[in-house]
Amino acid sequence: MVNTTYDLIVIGAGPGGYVAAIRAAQLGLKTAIVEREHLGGICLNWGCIPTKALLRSAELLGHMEHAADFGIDTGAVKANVPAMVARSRAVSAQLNNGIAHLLKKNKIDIIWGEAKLTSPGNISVSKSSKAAIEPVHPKPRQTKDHGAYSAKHIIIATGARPRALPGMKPDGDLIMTYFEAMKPTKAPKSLLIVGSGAVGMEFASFYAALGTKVTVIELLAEVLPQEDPEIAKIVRVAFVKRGIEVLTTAKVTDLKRQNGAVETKLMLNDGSTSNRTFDKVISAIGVIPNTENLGLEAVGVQTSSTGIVTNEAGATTCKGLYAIGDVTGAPMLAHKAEHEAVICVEKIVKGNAHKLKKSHIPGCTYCQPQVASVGLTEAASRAAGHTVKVGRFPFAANGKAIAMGDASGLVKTVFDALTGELLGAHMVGPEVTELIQGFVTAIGHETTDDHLLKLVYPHPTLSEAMHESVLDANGVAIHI
Amino acid sequence: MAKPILMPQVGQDLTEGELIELHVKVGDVVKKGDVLAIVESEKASFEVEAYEEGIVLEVLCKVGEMAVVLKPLLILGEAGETLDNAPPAPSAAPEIFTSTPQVVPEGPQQTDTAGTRSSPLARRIAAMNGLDVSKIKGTGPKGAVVKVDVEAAAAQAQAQKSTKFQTPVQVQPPVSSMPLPAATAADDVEQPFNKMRQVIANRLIESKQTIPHFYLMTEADISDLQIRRKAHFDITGEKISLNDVIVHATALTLLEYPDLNSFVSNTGVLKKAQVNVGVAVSVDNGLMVPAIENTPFKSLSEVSSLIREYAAAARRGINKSQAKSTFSISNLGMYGVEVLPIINLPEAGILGVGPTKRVVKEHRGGLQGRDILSLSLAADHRAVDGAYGAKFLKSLVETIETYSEFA
Repeated sequence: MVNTTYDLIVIGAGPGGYVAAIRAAQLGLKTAIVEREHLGGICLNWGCIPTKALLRSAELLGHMEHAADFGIDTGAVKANVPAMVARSRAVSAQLNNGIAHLLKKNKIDIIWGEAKLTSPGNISVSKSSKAAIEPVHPKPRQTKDHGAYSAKHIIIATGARPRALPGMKPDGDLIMTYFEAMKPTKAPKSLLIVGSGAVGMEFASFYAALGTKVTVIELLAEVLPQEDPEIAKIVRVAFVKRGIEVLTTAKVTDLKRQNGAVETKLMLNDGSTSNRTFDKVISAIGVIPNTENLGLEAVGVQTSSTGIVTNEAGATTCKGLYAIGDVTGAPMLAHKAEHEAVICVEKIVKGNAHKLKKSHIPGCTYCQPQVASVGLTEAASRAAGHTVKVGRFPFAANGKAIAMGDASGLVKTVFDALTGELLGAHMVGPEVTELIQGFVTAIGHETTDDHLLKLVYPHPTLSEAMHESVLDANGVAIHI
Repeated sequence: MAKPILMPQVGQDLTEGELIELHVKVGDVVKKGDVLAIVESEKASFEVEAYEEGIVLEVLCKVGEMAVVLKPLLILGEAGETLDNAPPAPSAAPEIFTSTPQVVPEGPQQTDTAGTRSSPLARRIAAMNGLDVSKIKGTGPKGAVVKVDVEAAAAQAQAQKSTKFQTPVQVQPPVSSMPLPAATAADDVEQPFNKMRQVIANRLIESKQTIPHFYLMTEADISDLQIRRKAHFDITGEKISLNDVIVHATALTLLEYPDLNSFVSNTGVLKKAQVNVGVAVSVDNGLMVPAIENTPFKSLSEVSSLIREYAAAARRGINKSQAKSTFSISNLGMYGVEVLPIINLPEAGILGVGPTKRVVKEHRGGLQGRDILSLSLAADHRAVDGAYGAKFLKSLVETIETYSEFA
């Protein structure tokens, strides 16, 4: 028996799902959202947000260790790991609660449990088959019960979960995923991080700040394989300077738990093998879409190894069924999911929506030094047939960066030499994750180099390095 | 700093040309103005001049390959620089960007773009393609014209241009055209057309077969003009030919007769905003028509020196003019013959200039020896009628006879 009929049911209350629900409610749809574990999804419970809280602690710790350089006597500085984790959980709880308020304000029904499609337009919600990750935030008040529900439109926004390497099944203790890595009780003495994407690099940065001897191992030739290699190399060099061991073109060939530690066999870039023992291991080799137990087969939705197959407005091969966010594949980023949510709902309600240009989606990594980029790398630009001109400006020549005591890194800009189109911007250095939006705006508005050249950037700011990079691309940089 | 030398945009139609000569190799020192390469399009050859200085770091196009307009032909840099360490950034946009080709407007020109929303990139690409951004339908926010819109419009304009106002590259040979007879004697030499002759053949077949030509003839008394011309030479030492004056006078007259300064099709005419007079130059086994850009607004001296420069280049097989002619002049007067020329497609008319003859005429009540120049006009009857052509010729005669813009 169907309990209630909605215009729209969203499955999953992560950044894709809750945004879809809110936008739908704003546009007048009678909307419900199904969630089995936590409002806000991985992003604000076990991902983006709590890690930023931890990294803030690590950053502050780093500053305080160097306080004397800034003329401040502090005495001995010590990390209190449980307090850092407690703060991180509190930040997460605050935002989790905020999502509940937003849903309530928009009169969106929350159905608590795990959803399964029974036929097109119909779902059944029952008890979650997955054990929740502890600690769990309180369940929102006033939720709908388990049962059958139907809707004209259903959006799947079930996200993704950590990928496990064969023979490296996380045990939640010695071999961790980001879930466990985010709630340490103390800093391990040694730590192996497998994978040097954003997640791996951020945890490497965090644990290194706590004094852990960190080793990052990457299968590919350079860390941060998504980024421009020139930028990634700067990060690698900075990591090595911080005492982080970085092994590239290398892999873990064997791994076993022994005497409360992890014994590993590593194959290094010269083909040799090395037996190493680590206190802990973090598996950070990416995430896979949550497409199981959704009843997708029941309604005939096409999936691939990268997730549910959709068109550019999120429509699946089943009429009335849509999918957005990580469950539809890369780039698996919260801001991409949020954007797809709005596009999908507006297409449903208004019949048209703007297109998401994937190359204009920025990416940020909050390790120390930070990395941020938007658009095409230099190599990708050339591969796409552009005649490129490249600008570079180091923060070493930026007044504000020097004053801040953090004058390392680079702003690299890539332009089409003929049209002046900004093809990509790649940054490493202080606060670049905040700066990148300047280039995001520029690239989204199809700015050309001659327009950027004429803009006035405030002095003294880090953003001047962005301007200088554009100047350099045109051979007219001033401060270098 | 590495600087690319781009394949120039010569004329509006050219999209690529075959690299037939390369005068430099990697390591050569290049000065501004050096002729780096010769590229041949279907219509003509032209020189690629260096607009930057430096050492050739890389040559991106080989002899025999097609060079694409506005794409780099070679890369210049500084001594000791290699491409690996050279930031591949041109220090400034090459000159070619500032002299983008004229817009081919659809109908009456409307330049007011106020209120049109467009991205800077869209405007730049539109300018590079000679498109008016205010006439492009936008798909960006609030109808703003964005990159994809301009690219679509450029592709469409290209397709339209080739159907409306451009000679199709492959002209259908006339049905009755006679096949080349086989050689019957050992001494008979079969000579296939070279590229230029083939283009001449195709274009003139189409012109003569599809344009309803009509011819008008007249004479101008240039005795007084010759005196002024000689006086100018005596004072300044500057040699101005009669042909220079005719070109300039024709351009000035065309300002008053815009119907003859137009491109013609079966469905309408495209009145050209700018007058570019083309001057037919006889070259080895062929003919070229370099155009003087914006002819009426150049001084006589400028027109004169440009004609000399273009004609000299044409005789070397090089087209130095970047303008597309809107009205042409064919002068065979130096051979002492009259001429009834064929219209240079898709223009509306062509002026034929014959010889100057000393004639005894009644002048101001007496008999005098006068210098009489014969002129003819071939015009496209679809665009203009006889009376219009006659009035144009009458005006032109007056302009030539009273011409005094020697300053």
